[in-house]
Amino acid sequence: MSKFFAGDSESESESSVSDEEEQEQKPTIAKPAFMVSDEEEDEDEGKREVKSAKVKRHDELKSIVKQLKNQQKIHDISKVLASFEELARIYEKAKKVIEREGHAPMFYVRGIAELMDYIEGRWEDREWRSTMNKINSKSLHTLRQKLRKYTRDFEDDIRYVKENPTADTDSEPEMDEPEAPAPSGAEIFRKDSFPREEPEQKSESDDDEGKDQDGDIKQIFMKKSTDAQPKEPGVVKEKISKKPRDKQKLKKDASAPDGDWVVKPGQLPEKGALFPKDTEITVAACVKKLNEILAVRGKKGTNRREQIALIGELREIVRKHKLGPCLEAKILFSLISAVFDYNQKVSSSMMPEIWEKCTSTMDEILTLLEENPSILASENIPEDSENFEDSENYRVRGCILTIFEKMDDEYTKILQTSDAHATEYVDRLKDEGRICQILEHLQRFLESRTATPSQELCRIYLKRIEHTYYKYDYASVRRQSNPNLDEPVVAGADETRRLIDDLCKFIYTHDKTDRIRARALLCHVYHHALHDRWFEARDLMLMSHMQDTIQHADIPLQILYNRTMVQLGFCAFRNGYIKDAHQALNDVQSANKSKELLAQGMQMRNMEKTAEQEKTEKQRLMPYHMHINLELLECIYLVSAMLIEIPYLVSHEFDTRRRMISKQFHYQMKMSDRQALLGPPENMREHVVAASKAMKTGDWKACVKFLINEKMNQKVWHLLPQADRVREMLISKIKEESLRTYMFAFSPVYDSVSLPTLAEMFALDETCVHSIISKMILNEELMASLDEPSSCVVMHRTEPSKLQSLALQLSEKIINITELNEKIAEFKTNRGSQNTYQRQQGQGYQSWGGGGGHDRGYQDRGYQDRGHDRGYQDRGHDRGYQDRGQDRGYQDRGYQDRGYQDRGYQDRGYDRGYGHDRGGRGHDRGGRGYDRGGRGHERGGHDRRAASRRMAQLMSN
Amino acid sequence: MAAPLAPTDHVVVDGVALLKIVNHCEQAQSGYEQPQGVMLGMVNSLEKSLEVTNCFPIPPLQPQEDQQKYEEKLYKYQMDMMRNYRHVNIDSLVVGFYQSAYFGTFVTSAFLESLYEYQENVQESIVLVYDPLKTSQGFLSLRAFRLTTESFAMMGTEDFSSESLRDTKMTFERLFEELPICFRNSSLVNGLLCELEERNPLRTDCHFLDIGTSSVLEKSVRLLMNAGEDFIKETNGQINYLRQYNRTIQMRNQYVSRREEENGKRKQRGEPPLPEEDLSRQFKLPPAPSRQTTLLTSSQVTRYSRQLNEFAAQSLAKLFAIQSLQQK
Repeated sequence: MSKFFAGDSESESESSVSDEEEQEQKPTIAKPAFMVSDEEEDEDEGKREVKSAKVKRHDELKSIVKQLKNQQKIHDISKVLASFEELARIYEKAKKVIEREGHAPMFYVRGIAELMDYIEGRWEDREWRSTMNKINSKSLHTLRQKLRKYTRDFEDDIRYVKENPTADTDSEPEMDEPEAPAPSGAEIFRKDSFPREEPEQKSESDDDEGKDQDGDIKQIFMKKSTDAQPKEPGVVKEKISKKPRDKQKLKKDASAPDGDWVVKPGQLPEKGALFPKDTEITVAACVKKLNEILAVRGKKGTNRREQIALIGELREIVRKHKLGPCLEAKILFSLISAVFDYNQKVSSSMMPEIWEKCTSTMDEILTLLEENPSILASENIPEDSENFEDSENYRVRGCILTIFEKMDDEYTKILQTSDAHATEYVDRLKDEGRICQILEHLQRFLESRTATPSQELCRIYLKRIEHTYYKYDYASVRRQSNPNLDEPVVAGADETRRLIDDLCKFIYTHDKTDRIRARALLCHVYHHALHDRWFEARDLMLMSHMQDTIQHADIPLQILYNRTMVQLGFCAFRNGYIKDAHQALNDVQSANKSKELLAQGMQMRNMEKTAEQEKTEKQRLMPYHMHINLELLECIYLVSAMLIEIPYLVSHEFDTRRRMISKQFHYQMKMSDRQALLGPPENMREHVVAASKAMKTGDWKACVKFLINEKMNQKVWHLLPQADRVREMLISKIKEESLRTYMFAFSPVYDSVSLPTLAEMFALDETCVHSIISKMILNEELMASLDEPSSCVVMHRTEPSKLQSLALQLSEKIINITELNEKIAEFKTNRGSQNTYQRQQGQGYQSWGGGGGHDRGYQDRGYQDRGHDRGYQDRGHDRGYQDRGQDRGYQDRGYQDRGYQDRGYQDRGYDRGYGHDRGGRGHDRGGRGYDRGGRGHERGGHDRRAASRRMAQLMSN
Repeated sequence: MAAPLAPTDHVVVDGVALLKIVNHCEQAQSGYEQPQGVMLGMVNSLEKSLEVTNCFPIPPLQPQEDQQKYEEKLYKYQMDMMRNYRHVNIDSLVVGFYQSAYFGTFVTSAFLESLYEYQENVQESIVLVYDPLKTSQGFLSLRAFRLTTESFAMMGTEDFSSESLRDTKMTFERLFEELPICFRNSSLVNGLLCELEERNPLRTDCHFLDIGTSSVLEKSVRLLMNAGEDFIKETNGQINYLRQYNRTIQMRNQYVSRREEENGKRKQRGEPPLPEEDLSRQFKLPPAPSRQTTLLTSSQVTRYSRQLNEFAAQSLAKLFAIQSLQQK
């Protein structure tokens, strides 16, 4: 303390220094009110000790700065010079500490700046210069030059310091005003304002700290020092005004001239203090006042909380004096932007009470505007053409829609930053209802205004849609499924379907920016898909051609697209369109990045991202209540893949060029194969894999048992609405695909199978079995014919056996080897000869480019493979799907990344061209099959002989 | 190793060693690693034979284990084992190693190298290859191999270029030589065996009449296909090499001819000719690929083919026999 309030005789400048000291030294003394300093932020002892070096240096520097000031007072230039040199030396020493801090301490820079001013002042004062003694004049000369050199390093800081006080002087008149007429009031207030202000300030800084936790230390320091700023300019001013004073005295007697010292807290509790008591309160005065308040907005060191309070107060005054609704609107607009300003960091979210303020203000603006239709609020009105007085033609700058959008963003931020698994989140989520209320209110308001441009309507509609699309409309679904149920239709709880339809249609016709339309469309599709309206959702999606352009869209739109596709996939799955489900989900699921693609979390392993990227990604994350369950996603994807892949896998068991339909599925299968011991399935993936394995042998009962059981119900199926229906669908699909798998796997064992037996085995209708088998025969997947009288499937046994197909493959390999060997031989015989070499090279490339030899070998068998390709898919449905012109886009996009699949689809497209004819010629097929087999063998045999002969020749060479 | 190989022309395997080999190979065939072991014995120069009298297994490399540490441990283990054997008066001369191999899939470069190492120490060393699959079908399959003199020399120089292959007339058939094996038991054991045979005569339900041929054939064809793939890869490498080689040669020739032309012109003008440059540095010939893998693959393919032939012949005979039985 003694150090602090050093000596009673100290001049005013010293007290100002001690003020500064106070900020730095806080921990050792009683915490002064409303001082936000470095130390105050650090609550724990440990940190304080760490910084002791810094404090020490600062103390040293400060004492010299103090000295300097004293010496300036008595105009002892030579001493000033000495002190300055000392200061520079110590500063050099302290550089390390300062560097860590990132910038020179403010008091130091200010000291230098003052010194500079002083010296310049002295220098200009020729009269005084002539009177001083020689030593001093010499010192002045040196000091001036040194200082010039020295300050070059601090130019920026000094400029800042010089600017800052001016910034404060701007706001000063207003702050002084209340004190001037009512000094005693100010005094009283100051006395009791100390204790009152302290906790508040503290809590604020605490909050700041909480938010800063993740930020780096440097940032904290930066921020704090700017927080501490506002007091310092005041201090400087005091010094300039040269009023002797010390702190103790000050506490007792706060006379008017000292008003600036307590300016900050002074504004808060005092009503009417904004204006001098006798001032006539007019519109112009209020606008002026408001502008004054707003002038400091955004500047460093502005007390944002106080600003909000000031504006609120102003509003009270306006209301009391009945200055018209328009002015009030203006003030409210300012108020809400001040509220938005409250958080400095973009990433941090609003505190609950601020949020509360925000929503209530929003409500008030809305009500106000609604009650006073004459007010025209638009962002296109420039400030100077605002009109607050003409009650017929109020004009005010500000856009309620923009404010709402901003508020909505803030809300999302609040949800993002709160812990999704705590009750806090639920509390926050309750505000969603309020938002929706405001939203509806706003929508009504905008609709009622004829002047509202359609673009703005589009924007508000989009907001409405975005708040609706992901919510499952339980009420309407219940009504649909149970029309007899006479549930009282709650007014306002309109069917969301109609709502979304209407809004979207308006946007489709009126929107001029593609972005809003695209978002609305995706939400529309999402909503359709969520409510099981598969055809509407699919058609809308396909008509949009979104698949072609989505790669170029902005990220939030891509996220929405991914979400929509996933929902579309779910919908397809629930409706039994397994293939479509697989296609829709493939993109999101294939790279194992579903979490990121849906913006539901961040990948931990990706360390190469910069902090910046991470931050933006964090901002994009979906709030938890909008998440799509990832396990459900994976399960549906894997089950769809299983239903497609397993029959294909079994039918192509010996095909070396078998392609993977679903990488992920194969990966899971491989993982389980690698396991030495297989226990009973535990998690969802293991269940699916186990089911797949059961399906491979056509054991549909086991397959169903693995997929639909208590565990899986709990984990996955209960998450779907109308789970029973889905389960039924799944069982029937499993039966069908198991039947197909069974026929692929075991048809070589049979001479003939009776359809009733098959029907019994797979618990299917006989007609169903009949149709499946027929389809397989038609697609040349099964070499058999149906014997109607005995209702049997008679196998033709034309498929090559395993050994035969292997032999065929081997022969192909050997042909390959032979060709290569011949090429080597050619090299040997023609070495060195240029012409032949070139010729050879050409040839070589011809037959080599893209494995030419290979391809040629396969071309003969090409149509067989294509047959299989087409075989595995549900053709009847698929054709209908593809016949639409736009459908291709959907499919292409689905497979864009996977070249080989693309080829597959193209082949299929080609197939379709003559597929109809083939159906008609069904009878020929058997014969053709024979032919082909024979041809294959013949060729194989021939080639093999030739190959081995050539090989033998070459070997013996 | 300039000294000529000792003229051992057959291998004598003791019953103990054989049973130990079979036992080890049958028991340890779970993992991916092929079970291996070291054989002990002596060289009988009188009878020109290599006698294998005992053996011990080599512990397999554990998946997490460090390669270098493993080798150190292995060396110590082998020394210990040999010392222990000597203590109980068993031959402690290492005469090679044994390993198990399905379908005769054993011709790899690692195999070649380890055989070379053994032969470097003891020229007469051999490798015994045991096929557990065939044994389970009723045929004891144990074969003895040794590097031929040529391949041994070639391994020594590590030169597997086409030229050296041509010069040494090396072919895949002459990579290994197979030695006949005979089994030998002490008279006591022979006596015991005779008695056992009398007491419980051999069971007649042998597997050798099995006509389920397709699985073996399939497996063989698959292996052949794999070998074919290796072959294609190697040949592609060779072709690439040749192409590059030719291109370089061609460029060099062009350069030389252009230089000569220039020099001729200069001569006419009376100027000094351009200095000679180091052509071999300017036009670097690509490194010739090693033909070792090709050799090994060829050798392996031959082995497969022979096996397949053998198997097919036997199966055909069986099939014919069964056909005639069924006709009756």
